[in-house]
Order: sequence, then C-alpha cells, then structure tokens
Amino acid sequence: MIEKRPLANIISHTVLILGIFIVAFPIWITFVAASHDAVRMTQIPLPLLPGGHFWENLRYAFSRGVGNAREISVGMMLFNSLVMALMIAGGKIAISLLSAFAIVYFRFPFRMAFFWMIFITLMLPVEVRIIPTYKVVADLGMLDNYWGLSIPLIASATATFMFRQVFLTIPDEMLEAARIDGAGPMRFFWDILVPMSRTNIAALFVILFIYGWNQYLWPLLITTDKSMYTIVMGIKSMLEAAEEAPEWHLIMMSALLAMLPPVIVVVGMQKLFIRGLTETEK
Amino acid sequence: MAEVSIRNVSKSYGDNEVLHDVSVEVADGEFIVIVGPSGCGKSTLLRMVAGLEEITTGEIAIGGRVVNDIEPKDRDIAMVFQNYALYPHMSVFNNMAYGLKLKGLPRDEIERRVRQAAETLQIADYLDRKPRQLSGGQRQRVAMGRAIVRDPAVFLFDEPLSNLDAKLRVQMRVEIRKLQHRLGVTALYVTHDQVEAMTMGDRLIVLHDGYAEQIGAPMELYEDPKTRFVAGFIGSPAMNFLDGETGDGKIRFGKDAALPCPPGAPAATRVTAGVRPEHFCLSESGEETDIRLHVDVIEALGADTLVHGHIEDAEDGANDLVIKLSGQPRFAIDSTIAITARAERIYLFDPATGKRL
Repeated sequence: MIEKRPLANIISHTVLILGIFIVAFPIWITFVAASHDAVRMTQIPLPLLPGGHFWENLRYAFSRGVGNAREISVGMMLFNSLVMALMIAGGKIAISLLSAFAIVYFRFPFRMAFFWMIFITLMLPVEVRIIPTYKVVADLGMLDNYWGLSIPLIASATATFMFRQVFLTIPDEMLEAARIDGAGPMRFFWDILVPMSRTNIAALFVILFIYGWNQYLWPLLITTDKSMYTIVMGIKSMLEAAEEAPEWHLIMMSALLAMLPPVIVVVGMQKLFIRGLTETEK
Repeated sequence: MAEVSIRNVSKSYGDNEVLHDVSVEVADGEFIVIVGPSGCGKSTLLRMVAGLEEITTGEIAIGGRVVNDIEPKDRDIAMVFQNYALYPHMSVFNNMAYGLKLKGLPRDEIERRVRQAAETLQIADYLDRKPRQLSGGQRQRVAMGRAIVRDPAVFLFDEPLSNLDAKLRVQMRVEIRKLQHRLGVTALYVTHDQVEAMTMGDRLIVLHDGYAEQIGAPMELYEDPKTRFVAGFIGSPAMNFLDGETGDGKIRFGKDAALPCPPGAPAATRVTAGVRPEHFCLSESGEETDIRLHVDVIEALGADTLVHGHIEDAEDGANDLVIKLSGQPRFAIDSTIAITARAERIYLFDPATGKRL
C-alpha cells in the first residue's frame, strides 16, 4: 500500500532539495569562479553566474603553474596524483590479495601471530608513524619520487581482511575440484580466486584510488622538488604567493580539475560492482 | 586395468579414529556404492581414494599402483561433488576444459573431448553459458562432463544427487548408471540413500561408525544381513526388531506375542528378532506363534497396505511394528489382528553386539 500523504511528501522533498543545494552550492561557486577572469574575482560580491573565461582558464592552468606552485603546471600535478593514486590502489590490492590468500589457504608457523600483527597495524595510520616512516624513506633515498609517494602507504589491513572474508566464503569443494584438475596454489589463485573476487576488487579500487588521490600530509612531507607536487597538496601552495593576491580563478579551476578523476573512477566502476552485487553467484 | 584396492585402511584425526580397518577389492568396471548414515565415514573413504585426505594406515591402490603418496591430479581419477563445484566465472566449455588445459593437451584434442562429452550428456547447447544460468540438473551434467573428459581410470561420486529434487533424482540415477555401464569405467559412489544404493550398485559397502559392516551385492545384503545395522538399514520400510527369548521352538515377546523360532537357533537365549514388514502375514487360526497387533494407522497404497500397530504389553523395548500386506485391508483402526511370519524369514541378532546369530 502506498501512503498518500501529500504534506509528508512535500516536506521530505523540500529537505532533500535543501540537502542537495547545500552540497552542490560550493561546487557551483567553484565552477563559476573558474570561469571568470582575475579582475572579476577580486570584486565582491562573488559572482553567482558563470563568466566566459572557462576554456581560457582551463588552458592556462593546465599548462602553466599558479602562485607558489608556479614552476609546475596543474597538468603535471594531475599526472603525479594519478600515478600515485594508481600505484597505491593497485599495490594495496595486489598485496592484500596475496596476504589474504596466504592466511586463508596455507598453514604455516605463527600464522595467527602474523594475522594479529596485520590487525594491529590498523592502529597505525600514516599520521601516527610519520617520523620513523620519513626517516626510513629518506635513508632509502626514496624522497621526491613516485616510489616514495606510494610504497609507504601500500600495506592495507582493511583490504586484507576484506579479501579474507571473500576467500572464506569460497567453498572448499572448489579448491578440491581445482586440485583434482591439477591446479597448483598459484594457478588456483590466478585462475579462480582472483576472477571470483572481481567485484570486491572493483569496489576496493574505487575506495583506495580516492584514498590515494586525497593524500595530503604524506606528499607534503616527502616532496621538496616542485615537479613532484601532487594536485591536492599543490592547491594549498597555490594560495601562498609572496607578493601578489591569490589568483582565485585559476585556483578554483585547479580545484575543479582535482575533483574530476575520482568522480570519473566512481562513475566508471559503478556499473561493474553494482552488476556484481546483484547477480547471485552459485 | 583400473581395479581399486583398499587394504586395511584406517583414518584418524588426532586421537579420533573415524575409519577402522576397511578393506575392499573393486573390480575393473564395477559400480560400488558406499552407503551409510551421516557421519559414518563414507565421504572420508572416498576422499582418501581421491587423495584429498591423508591415509593414516593402510594402502590404496588404483590399477595396481599404490597411490598413498600420489597427488590427486596424478591418480587418474575424476570426482563429481555434491555441490558440483563448478567454476562460476567460466563458461561450461571452459569448466570442462580446465583440467585438460592444465595437463597441456593440444587445443583441438580438448575441443574434441569436450564436445563429445557434451553430446553424450545432452548439454551441447549450453557450452557457452555460465553455471548460474543453468538449472540444478544441468549443472550436475556439467560436473559429470568435467569428469568424463578426463578419461579417468576411476569415477568418484560424492552424493551427487542429494541437491536435486526427487523426480530429477530418479531420472539422473538411471542416467548415471547407464553412462557408467556404457563407458565401462570403475565407479565409487557415496550416498546415504539406501534406495539409490540398492538400485545402482553392483556391490554395496555398508559403513557404520567407521566400520565396514558388510560388503556384498544388494540382494545378498537384503536376504542375508550379517548385522542388525545392515538388516535395519537396507529395505524400505525398515525391518522390525523385537526383543524376546527363545524356548520350545518359539520366540516369546510377551503375553500375547510369539513367533516361530528359526531352526538351529540357541535355546533359552535372549535375542533380538528381526522381521521385514513384507514378510508378515495374517495368521490363519489362533496359533501359539502369533502376535496380536493393535492397529494404529492404516496406509492404503493401492496394491499394498502398510499397517502401523503395536503389541500390547510386550516385554520391554520397542513394541511398534510396521507390516505390509497385499491388497485392501479388511480390518479397521483400533482392531486387533493376529499376524505371524515364517520361521525362515525371521532373523536373529545378539541383543548386545548386533551380530547375526
């Protein structure tokens, strides 16, 4: 029975529209600000409607730098962020798949001790271990390059646990059938476990990509060479320009560009893991 | 040649022994059914033949070669699981081809074998589908197809029909038997369903609590059970058991219940007497070797009638009986009828050990 209560409908719709407005408004302002020129942006009130400089600003920001980050173009920063996020997401998934595989399917001494050690690392986010990690990375000479940006962030207890859960639900008979068919452990892993975890991998990829993309503290510490700046930390240094006022239109354009890749990843992967969640595996 | 030789095989998990000294020689091409209630060790035995479980003591030989330490893939066996264990992300064709691919067979050979097996099992139309797009019976056939293409020396079936509905089960029973007979491959088949066992096996191994109680052809187990367990397990409805005492050529179960004593039985001994429902008959006149049965329920099946009743004041132990009479019943519920059985149809067991006397 469908309730017919027009008043409740109106109220709930109003609340929802208000919510969308609150969320979307800042993004709208950003978009608008990105489409005006420098002059307009120094005048108050802030513009509420887009101007005509969108493409021009886009081209400028993409190829040239802004503010304190002048030596590096936004395009370059986007590239750095992309490489870092992809390495982190890919690395985390690969490592967690393998560690979950080892924990679930093999019996070795101190297995449970290792399991609990992995669990305990959940208590150690980057911020807690920042100084020792920095020292190790510096000593290894990994400052200012892609490896230093990604490898210290690459182990993941949550992903390991998630894959452990997935592997535990795979019936033993599958393993036995594969054994009889002649699949050794790594063949079983590659031919059967990984394809069966496809939807989990897709979902995790989205989450981990965004995690990697949004990294602020670690890239800030690790990179001194401006050509290694990532976009998220780079935007902050755009605001610091010694003698001049911040170039808001370009900063806003950069912010817009920084938001784009995670959105693309979510939208792109969405179909894959919704399909995976709704089809029943037997 | 693909005989399977199980010699004095025992299995323990730590201190817990689950299979005790089982031995059986399976001839080439024979269809052997391992049957027993849940937890009796039948799947464990099968898995030891497959190589999925370690053999604690004893030897298993396939085709004359001892396989105790050989990996499953090298034992020349193929197994069909209860839950089919198909790879869900692969097509039917790839499910069947996977093992052959790993063996390194050339592509055209794989193609030929898979198509031939698909033809035999009538699943050739489904080769491109994924398992989730198939029904239970079709998946079962794919699982069998996967076993057939390996061209093994022995087929191993682990309760393959348990997940199917009753009608499909009956149909698949016949098909499996026909297929095995046509291919001529030795088969070991595990089930808890004694009807499946009786209809499919050349010989049966009845397992109980890890012991092989009896090994023999279905009719042999039906007519000449060696233990009370086998007697009660084979045959449906199950055999009736009554505790009583022998004496004067009769077995007494109480005031109003007695049966003729089979020849050669020890006198003045407590025994458990077993009579199958179909071996009871209405007694002609009031004999001393009658059981007076109080009728509780009558199930008219058409050609036969099942009568459930009880003996009033039998000595001790169970006094409920099920008897099967042919034709329509001529008495009503709550009446008392006199029934008896012929002496040679009465089986005597030791009440303590369950062994046949």
